[in-house]
Amino acid sequence: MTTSHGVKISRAGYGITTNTVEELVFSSGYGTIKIVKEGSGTLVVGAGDTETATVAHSQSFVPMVMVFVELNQGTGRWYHGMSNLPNGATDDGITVSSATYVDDTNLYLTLISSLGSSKTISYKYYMFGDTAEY
Amino acid sequence: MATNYGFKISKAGYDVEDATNDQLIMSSGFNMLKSKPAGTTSGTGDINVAHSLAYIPFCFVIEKISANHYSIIGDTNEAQFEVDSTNLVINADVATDYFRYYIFYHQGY
Repeated sequence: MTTSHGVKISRAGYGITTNTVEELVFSSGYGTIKIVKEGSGTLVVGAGDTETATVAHSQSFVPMVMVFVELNQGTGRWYHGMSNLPNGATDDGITVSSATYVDDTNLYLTLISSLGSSKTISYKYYMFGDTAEY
Repeated sequence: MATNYGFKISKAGYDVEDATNDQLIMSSGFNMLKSKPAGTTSGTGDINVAHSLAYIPFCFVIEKISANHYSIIGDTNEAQFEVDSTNLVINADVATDYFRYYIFYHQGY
């Protein structure tokens, strides 16, 4: 009976038996990042107001989550993270102060506006099948 | 002899013959991020985590921002991290911060 078993796929140009992990597309011997949920939406915040979008993750653990936001809808400029821009940073005059986090139930995306008028942003999120918990 | 070969799995509802890349679960035509065992660390100031790889790897770091609240670094204005040829260096605060990290067998920089 064999003691070595599993599934491996090598990258083009590499042999399957002599390769290092970097030469593999996939190996059942190593974990890979799995997307367990993804989606998108819009968040509308009133002038000088704060608004939070809540997305249930439906996992039995706190998942690692990545979020991208388009602060200026239609521009195609997507930023990693609601607050990857430092507080007070601007995108075409839009000032943002915000936060993104996940707990054992939901993903929360909060936008705090200092604008004088209502603002709508677009967001995309990816939830992964690995825990974020310490 | 076949000139086009490989392995593809499509998402439910998509024909693997016609699926675009984002309609695939995996394809042998694309490298996947393969992770080392994840770890946790805590501390103040610069926290060094040796990655033991011969290159600067691709990494994710998640910070515990408060009780039961977690945020991947890049989604907060708080901690940052950097990676060199020896260590993943997490720039923690002056007060103790708590982190989970993922290091991948993939040259990131």
